Amino acid sequence: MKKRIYLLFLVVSLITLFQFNIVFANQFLLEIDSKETVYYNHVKHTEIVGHTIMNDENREQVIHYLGVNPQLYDDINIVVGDNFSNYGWGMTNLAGQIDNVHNRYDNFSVIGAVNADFYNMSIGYPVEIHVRNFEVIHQGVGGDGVVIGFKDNGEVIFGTPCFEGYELLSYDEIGALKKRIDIAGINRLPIADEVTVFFEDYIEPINGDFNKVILDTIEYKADGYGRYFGKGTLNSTVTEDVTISGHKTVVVGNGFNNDNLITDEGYTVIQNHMGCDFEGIRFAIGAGTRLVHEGVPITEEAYIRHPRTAIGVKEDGTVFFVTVDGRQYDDHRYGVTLYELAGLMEYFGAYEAYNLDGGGSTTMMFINDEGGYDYMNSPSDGQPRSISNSIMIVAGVHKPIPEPALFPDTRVLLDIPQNIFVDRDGTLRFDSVEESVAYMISIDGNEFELNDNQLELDLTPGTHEIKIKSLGDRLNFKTSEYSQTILFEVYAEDIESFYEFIKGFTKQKTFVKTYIIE
Amino acid sequence: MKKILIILLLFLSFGLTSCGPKEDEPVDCEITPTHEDCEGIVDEENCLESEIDVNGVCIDQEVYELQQTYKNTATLSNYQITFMVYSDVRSYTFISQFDDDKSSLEFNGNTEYYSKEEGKYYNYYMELGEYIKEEIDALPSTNMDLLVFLSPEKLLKVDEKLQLLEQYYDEAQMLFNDQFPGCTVDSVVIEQMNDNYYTLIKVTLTTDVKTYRFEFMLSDFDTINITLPDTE
Repeated sequence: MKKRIYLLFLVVSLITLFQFNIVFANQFLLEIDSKETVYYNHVKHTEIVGHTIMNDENREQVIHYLGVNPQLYDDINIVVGDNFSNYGWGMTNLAGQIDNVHNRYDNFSVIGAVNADFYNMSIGYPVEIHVRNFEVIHQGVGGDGVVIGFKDNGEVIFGTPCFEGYELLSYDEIGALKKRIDIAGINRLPIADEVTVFFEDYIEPINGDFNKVILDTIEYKADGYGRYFGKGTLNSTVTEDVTISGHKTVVVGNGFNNDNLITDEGYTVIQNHMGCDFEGIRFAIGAGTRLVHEGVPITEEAYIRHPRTAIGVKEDGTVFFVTVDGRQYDDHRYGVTLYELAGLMEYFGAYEAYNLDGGGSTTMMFINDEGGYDYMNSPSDGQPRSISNSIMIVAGVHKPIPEPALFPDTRVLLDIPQNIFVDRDGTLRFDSVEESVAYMISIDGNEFELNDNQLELDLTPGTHEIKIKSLGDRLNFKTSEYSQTILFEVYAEDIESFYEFIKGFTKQKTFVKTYIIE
Repeated sequence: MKKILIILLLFLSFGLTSCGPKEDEPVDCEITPTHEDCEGIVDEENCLESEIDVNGVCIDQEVYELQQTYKNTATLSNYQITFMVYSDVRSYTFISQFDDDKSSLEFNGNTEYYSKEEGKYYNYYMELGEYIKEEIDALPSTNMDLLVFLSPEKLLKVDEKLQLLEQYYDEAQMLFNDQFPGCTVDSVVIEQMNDNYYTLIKVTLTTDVKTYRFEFMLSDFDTINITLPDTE
């Protein structure tokens, strides 16, 4: 009889469990009322409306999941977004950061995005590191969070990078590294053979009988704690005293650049070298509290409910993001504690997971059928908040890293393409250059490679500036200078009609003699 | 007596015959200005002050000079026309030069040439940095010769300018119809002339998109020397 009662109890319990679709995740329960999933280019988005249950506290929730395994697809990658200005910091909402990614990388198209690191809400710099396309834009301001690095092969690493000192990286015109040299100090004169760098916050004269290589700054970042990032192109080299004004960076050293390391072509980056496990990481960003480690939720914090954003990685390499709405009780969006968030990340299969910035910053966007982007969640400020940085799943392959350039460069300089003209059919033509592997065409400042010495133009009406250079290879031939700019006028269809009329008139007056008979 | 009467009548008839003008002899209009052969032919002294004697015919001097100017312009063979097109705030310049059987057209930094050589018609145009010579059809499909079109009888003098009479606008539109189907010609004015030629013609043309001012400026008469480009 007892056995029968036990059996009956077991059956009733099981039926109850399945009927209410209750999911156990450690001591945390997720009760799902509805679940809707869509895919876009392998990227999965799921919206769950349900309840989190913990310690008899049952809360209504709206949860969003966004994830993909970038290790399975070469053309799916993870990048970081921001709205930093060229000479400082800045913030914008997630939609603005998606626009920025599209403007910065022509090889990527965003599929989905979430907010990322905690940040200084008045200035806009993030708490932790920010690495954008190998450039260590920001080293972090001493947060105790972790750094998440995204490798080109889709692998994600979590950890704390070490910084091995400032370096100057000189790149050639195609972005190939010519040489890396150590920078011994910032905003101080060098000693002996040292090379030092002065950034634009240095207002005193830079004196001494040194070579002073002045760069026009392309990007400059200072966090106010003596940490810098700089990027620029050659302006001039002088030996006399200089005082920095405007957006300039000065590299100083005894005989520095006598070897023409920094030339008019290419650009120079000055940054703190990021090493240890983060050597050669293309994108990295900071995160907060660890939520899941080796598949086990580990956080103890279980008191404060907020809207939350988290990043997780599954054992198979799937990278995913979760947002939970909160602070909108009338709309049944209560938010979760970190403990509950850890439970959720475990529920979604996280092997490792970290909390990202939450509260009003919590935002997730996903591409829609029209190619635009929709906010998936309901930001608790009532509108999307301006944030410092973001993480995005993008379609597109990484641009290959060019092989290091020869330095000193002993290659033969290629000739500049000659006889550039646009024929009457609107085809750009020029003499081919022997040994040139391709040509770089610049039309109104937009550059693109061409393998042939002719190109059918399709330009809008107006005056266009066209110049061409011969592209060399990495071993024997060096890319030429640009040709002189030719101006090519594209006329609107109506002006072409006048041209045709005048052609007809000219032919008629040439070929048909007119006699007036009286 | 009868014989005497017949001889008298014969004499009389000869005498009368000799008094009238003879068939092949020119009529002396001074004597018989009302004779039918004298119509329109007036002695120079009899032309009005505004008229001139052209081969013995009195013609209004202004009309005559305009006819000459028209004739000179329509039959020009060595000259330049600078075409100006004004559209919105921009203007575009095209230059055609004519040197008998040779001509050139310059636009947007490119110059192409036309020539008639031994009865054949050629176009020289630039390709790959060199001129190509190509035989072409002789004539455009429609008449585009505004200079021939603007004959004096179609013109009205207004304020020292010559305007195309309105009844000829439809005809004028036909000149432009190939390139601007459905266009309307709003005005055609010969703005300037010198002693021999029309020197500035202005046409206002409206398409369904916008209105253009199209100018023909004639110059460099009998001074053009065109050398055709070398071709391989």
